[in-house]
Amino acid sequence: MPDANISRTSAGAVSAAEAQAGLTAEQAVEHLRGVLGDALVEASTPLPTRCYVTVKPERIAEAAGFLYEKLGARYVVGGGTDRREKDGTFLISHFFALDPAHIYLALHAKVPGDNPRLPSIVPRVPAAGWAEREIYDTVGVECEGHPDPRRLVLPDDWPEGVFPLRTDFRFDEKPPAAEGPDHSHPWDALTGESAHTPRIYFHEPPDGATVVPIGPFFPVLEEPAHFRIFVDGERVVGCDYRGFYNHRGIEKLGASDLTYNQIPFIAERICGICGFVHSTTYCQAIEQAAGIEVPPRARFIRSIILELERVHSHMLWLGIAGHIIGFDTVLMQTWRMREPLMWLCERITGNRKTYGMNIVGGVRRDIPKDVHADILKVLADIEREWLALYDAIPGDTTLMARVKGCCVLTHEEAVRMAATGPTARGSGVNIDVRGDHPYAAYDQLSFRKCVYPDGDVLSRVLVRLDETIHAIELIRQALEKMPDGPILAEIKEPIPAGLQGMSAVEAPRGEVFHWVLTGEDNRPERWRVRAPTYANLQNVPAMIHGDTLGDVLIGIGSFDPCFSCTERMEVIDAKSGSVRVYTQEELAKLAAQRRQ
Amino acid sequence: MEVSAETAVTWVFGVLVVGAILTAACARAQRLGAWLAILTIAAALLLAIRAALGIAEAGGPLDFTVFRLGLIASSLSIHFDWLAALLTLLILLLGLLCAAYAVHYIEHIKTPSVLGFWPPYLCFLAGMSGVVCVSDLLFFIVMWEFMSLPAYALIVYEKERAENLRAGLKYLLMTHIANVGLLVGAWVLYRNCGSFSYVQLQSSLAALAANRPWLTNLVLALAALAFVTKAGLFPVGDWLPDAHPAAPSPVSAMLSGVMVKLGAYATLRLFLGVVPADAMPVIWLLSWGVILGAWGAASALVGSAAAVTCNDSKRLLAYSTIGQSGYIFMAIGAALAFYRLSPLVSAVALIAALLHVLADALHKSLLFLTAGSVLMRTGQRDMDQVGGLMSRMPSTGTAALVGVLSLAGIPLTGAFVSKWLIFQSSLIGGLESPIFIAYVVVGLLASVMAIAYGLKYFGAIFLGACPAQLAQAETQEVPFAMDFVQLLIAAGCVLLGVLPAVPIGWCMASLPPSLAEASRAALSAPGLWEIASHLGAPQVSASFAPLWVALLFGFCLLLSWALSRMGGASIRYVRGWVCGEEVAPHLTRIPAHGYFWAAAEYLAGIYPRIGLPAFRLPTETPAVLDVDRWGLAKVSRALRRVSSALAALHTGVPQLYMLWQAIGAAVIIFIFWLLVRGH
Repeated sequence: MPDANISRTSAGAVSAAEAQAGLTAEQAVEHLRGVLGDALVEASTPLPTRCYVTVKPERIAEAAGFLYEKLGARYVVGGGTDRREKDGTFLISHFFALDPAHIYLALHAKVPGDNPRLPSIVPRVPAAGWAEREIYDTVGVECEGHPDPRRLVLPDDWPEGVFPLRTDFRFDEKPPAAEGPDHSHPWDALTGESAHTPRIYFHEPPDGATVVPIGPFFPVLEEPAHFRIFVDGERVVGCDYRGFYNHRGIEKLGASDLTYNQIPFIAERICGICGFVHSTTYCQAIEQAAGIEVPPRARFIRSIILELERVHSHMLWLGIAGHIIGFDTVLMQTWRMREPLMWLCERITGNRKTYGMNIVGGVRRDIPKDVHADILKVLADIEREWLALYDAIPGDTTLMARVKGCCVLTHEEAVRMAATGPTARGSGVNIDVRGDHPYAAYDQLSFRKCVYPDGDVLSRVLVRLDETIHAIELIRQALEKMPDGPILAEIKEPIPAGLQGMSAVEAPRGEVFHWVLTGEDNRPERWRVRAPTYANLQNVPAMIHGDTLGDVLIGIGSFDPCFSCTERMEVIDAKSGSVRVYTQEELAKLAAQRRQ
Repeated sequence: MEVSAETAVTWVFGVLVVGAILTAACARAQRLGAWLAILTIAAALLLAIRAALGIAEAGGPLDFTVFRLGLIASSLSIHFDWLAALLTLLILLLGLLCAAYAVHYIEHIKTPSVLGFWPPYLCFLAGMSGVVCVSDLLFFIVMWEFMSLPAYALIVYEKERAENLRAGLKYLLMTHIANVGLLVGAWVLYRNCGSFSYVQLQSSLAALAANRPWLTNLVLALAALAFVTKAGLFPVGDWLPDAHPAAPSPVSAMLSGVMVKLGAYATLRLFLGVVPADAMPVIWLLSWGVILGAWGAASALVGSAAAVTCNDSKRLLAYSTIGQSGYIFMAIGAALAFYRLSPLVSAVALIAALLHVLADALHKSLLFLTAGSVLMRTGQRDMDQVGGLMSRMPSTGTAALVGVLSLAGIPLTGAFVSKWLIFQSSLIGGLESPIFIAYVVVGLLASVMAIAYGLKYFGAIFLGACPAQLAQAETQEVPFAMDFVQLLIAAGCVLLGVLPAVPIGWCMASLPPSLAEASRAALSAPGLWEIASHLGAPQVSASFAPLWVALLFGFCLLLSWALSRMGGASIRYVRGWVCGEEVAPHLTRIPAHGYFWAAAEYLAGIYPRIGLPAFRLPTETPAVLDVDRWGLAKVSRALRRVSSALAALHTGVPQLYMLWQAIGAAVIIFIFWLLVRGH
C-alpha cells in the first residue's frame, strides 16, 4: 500500500489512447531523448514492440514521469540486479507498457555499487510504490524520496543490511533468526509491561478510527495476507497491508541454481491456479531474448491451454466469490461444473493442474485430433450451464444488492495505480495483453476485450462471466485453425549472455510480466516476475475506501487475489529440503489417496 | 413526641424550606451545609413515612386544610392518598440518596455560585413534595413553580459555561411557555366554577362539560400540554437533552428520575382526580386515551432512536428518559381510554404506569449517577474518549450494568414487570380499540432500541480497551459514599423486579376508588399475570414468578461455581488470538460511535431539535440573569454591612451600653405615651 489514507486525486496521466496514437518504438525513444538529452545513455529497439532505454540514475524520475504523465504509459514493475561483478553497478529497472502502441519499454539506470541510491519515481508514478520498496529490500538500493519506505517482502527478524538478491548472498544461505520466541507486544511500552519494543511496520489509524485486523490467517481465501482495515464505525477510512509471509525467493533460485529448461517447471509452481501462464511467460521471454522461433502448432497449443486455464480459474473464482458473500450454492454449482474441465486437462496434459507442458522453444505434448471432440463436448456443456448462470445473476436481487455499487474502483484510480486484468477492465480500462501485445496464437484468432465501465464488484463479475464465454469461443477457433507441424523448436546454439526479453501473458487475474536478462552457466542472470495481484493489491485502499466493513472481503475477493503468485511462494519440505507446491487439487488428491 | 399524620405532611414541606434557609446561611462551609441538607432530607423522609402510616391508620386519604385565602376562594388544602405517599417517598428517598452522592460530587466542581448547591436542591425537593400533596389548583401551580425555578438554578449550577446557561434558558422558556397554558386553564376553570379546589372543580366541571364541551377540552389540552412538556415527551420535551448534560449528575438523576415523572403524575391527577371521569362521555375519555397513547408511543420510538445515535453519555440518558416517559404515557393513554369501557384493563394500565414510574426513576437515576462517576473520574461525557473502565471502576460498572439491564427490561428487573403490564393491558385493550395494538408494536420496537443504547452505554464506557490517553491516567473508583449510593439503587432495581408484588400492591392502593372497586377481586391472588383469563380472553393467560426464577438462576450459578471448583478448573488470562499479527488493544477498541453504526446512520436526525432562536441579548443581560450578582450577593453584602455596623456598636465600653439602654427606655416610654394619649 503506498499510502494509508488515499487521496482521491484524478490521474495525472493523459489519455493513453490519444498520447500513443501511431507511436512506434523508435518515436518513443526519440521523445525520451528530447526530454532527457544527454542523460539518455543508451537505447535499443531489438523488436518493433520492445524498447530498452538506459538513463542516468539522477534523471530516472524525470524519464518515468514523462512516460506516465505525457505518454500515458502504464507502470508494470521494477526490479534491481546486482551487476557489481560485471561493471561495478546495480542495474535498476522500471518497466512500462504502452498498451495502445503495443510497446513494452524498459527504463534502466546503472547505479554505482559504492553509492547505491537514486531518486524515487513514486512522487511522479504512484504505482511504483511497492516495486521500489522491494528494490531496497532485495538489492539494497535506496530510492530517495519514497513517501513510504517501509519493509515489504522481508520478514521482521531479517537483519538490516542483508540483501538476498545480491550476488554475494548465496541462494541457500539463512540469516540467523531472531533470538528466541518474541512474546512482547507493541502495546507493552504503553502499559509499561516490558521495555522491549519491536519494530512496527504498520501505519497508525487516523484519529478516532478502529483497526480491524484481517489475517494473516486470511479467513476466506485460505492464504496468508494481513489487512488492517481502518474503520470509523463501519465505514472504511483507510487500510494497511502486510503480505509476503511466504516469500521464498524463486527469482533468486532461477538466477543462481536452476538452468533455462528447469525454470519453466518452477515457474509453473509460482501459482496454484494459473501456473501455466508463468511458464509460458518465462519461455516466451527467453525465446524472445534468444530469437528462438516457436513452431505455430506449439503457439496454438499454448493458447488453448491458457484459455482452458482461464475458464477453470474464472469458475473457481466465481465459486469462491459466492462463498465469500455466503452464497454457497454458487460455490457448489460452479465447482461441480468445473470438475469435467479438470478431468479434461488431466487427459490433455497428464495433470489436472501444473501441467509441465512448457519448455523453452515450444511444448512437450501435442493435442491429438481424437481429443478435439472431447474438448468441444466439455466446453459445450460448460457454456450451456454458464449461460444459464449468466442469466440467473441479474435476477437474483440479493446477490445484486450485495455486489452492485460495492467497492467501486474508479477509472482514474485504476489508471493511476496501474490495475490490470479484469480488475482494470471492470473499471472501464481498455487493456488486455492478448489484444495489446499479442503472443502465442492470439494474433491469428478473432479476439475482443470484455470491458465494463462501472468499477464495482458487479462489473468485475460481469467481465469474468463474459470472458469465460469468450475463452470457450477462442478455444473453438484455435482448435479449428491449429496447423500441423512440430511442437518444439530445436535449439542448436547456447543462449548468449547479456540479452534481454520482456514477455507478458494475460492470466485470468491480469497481466503476468517476466523480464529476463540472459547470463552464463546456462541460466538467466536475472529473472524478474510480476504477478497480476502485485499490481491489483495496490488498488485495495482506493477500492474499499468509503465502503462498509462487510463489503471489504468481497471487495478484496473481487479482484481474485492470488497471494502466492504475488509472493512467488513455495512449500519447502523440511526433511528433504525439496521444493514442492501443493495446489488445492493435489492436496485433495493426496487426501483422497490417504482415505483409500 | 407524638406527631399527627397531618402535621407530618405539612412539615415535610416546612422542614425542607427551613433546611434550605439554614444551608443558605452556611453557604461558605460546604461540608456543614451538606450535612445539614442530608439531615433535613432524612427528617423530611421520616415525616413522610409517619404520614404514610397515618393513611394506613385512617384507612383512607388524609384530607385537611392548612389555611384559606378567603378573598379568592382558595385554600392550601392537602389530599394525601397512597399515590401522593408513594411519590413523596420516592422523591425524598431518591433525594436523600442523590444528596449523599452529591456531597463528594459537587466538591470537584469549581463554580463561583454564591447561593451554593444545597438551598435550591432542598427547595426543589420541597416543591416536588408539595406538587403531589396539594389538592388545590392554585397552590398546585405555586408548588409547580416552587419545583421548576430551583430546578433552573440547579441546571445552571456550573454557570460559567455558556452552553449551560443556554440549556437552562431553554428549559426555562419551554416549560414556562407551556405553564402559561396551565395558568390560562386554571383561570378559565376558576371563572366558570368559582373555586380552585379539586373536589369542587370535579362537581362543577360535570356541568361545564355538558354545557361547553369545547371549552372543557381546551382547558384539558392546555393543562396536559404543560404536564407533557415537563414529562419530556417528544417534541415538547426538547429541553431534556440540553439540560441533562449541563446539570450536575445528581441533579440530572433527580430531574430525570423524579421531576419528569411528576408530569405523568399531574396528568393522572388531572384526568382522574380533577376531571369527573365517571361523568364524562366515554368517547372523550377514549379520544384522550388514544391521543396520549399515540403521543407516548411516538415519544418512546423517537426518544429511543435518538438515544441510539448519541455519543454523549448524559445526553443519551436524556433521550432515554424521553423514550421511557413515552412508555408511561402509553400506559396512561390505555388507562384513560378504557376507564369506562373496561375498568380492569384501565386498572392494570394504571398500575403499569405507576410501576414504570418507579422502575424508571430507579434505573435512570442510577445511570445518571454512574455517568456522573465516570465524568468525575475521567472528565469525559464523550463516550468515544473512554472505555474499558470495568477494571478500574468495577462497582460503578456493575451498577451501570444493572441499570442498563433494567432499562432494557430484562426479567428480574423492575422495568420488565412494568413493561410487561403496559404491553399486556394495551394488547387486551386492543381487543376493543385496535389502535393500542399498534402502540404495542411501536413500543416493542423502542424496547429493542433500549437494549441497543443500553449496550452502547455500558459497552462503550466499561468494556473493551482503554483509549491511549486514558491508559496512562490513574483512574480509580469513586469514594465509598458515592459507590454505596449506586449499589443501593442498583439493589433497588433488582428488588423491584424480584419482588414486584409489594410495589404492585401499593400501586393498587393508589387506584381511584371507582377502579379499585371494579378490579379488586380480579387483581387479587393468584396474581396480576392472569388478568387475561379474568377478561374471558381465550387462553392467553401467562404467569411469571420472579422470585422462583431468581432462585433457580441463583441455584444454577451456585451449581456451576461449585462444579468448577470441584473440577479444579483454574482461570487463565490470555491474550486474544487475532489471526497471527498482534494489534494493540487500544487500536482495536470500538468507540461509542462505532456501535450500531449503520442504524445510527439511518436514524440520524430522527429527533429534530428545537433550537433557541439566535438572538443577540443586550450585553447587560448576563448581569441581569445572574441572580447571584444583582440579588443575592447584594442582599448578603447589605446584611453583612448592617451586621458589621451593628457589631461596630459593640465597643466594649460599659458607659455606652448604659447610654443605649437609657435611649431605648426613652423611646419605649415615648411610644407608650403615644399609645395611651388617645384614651
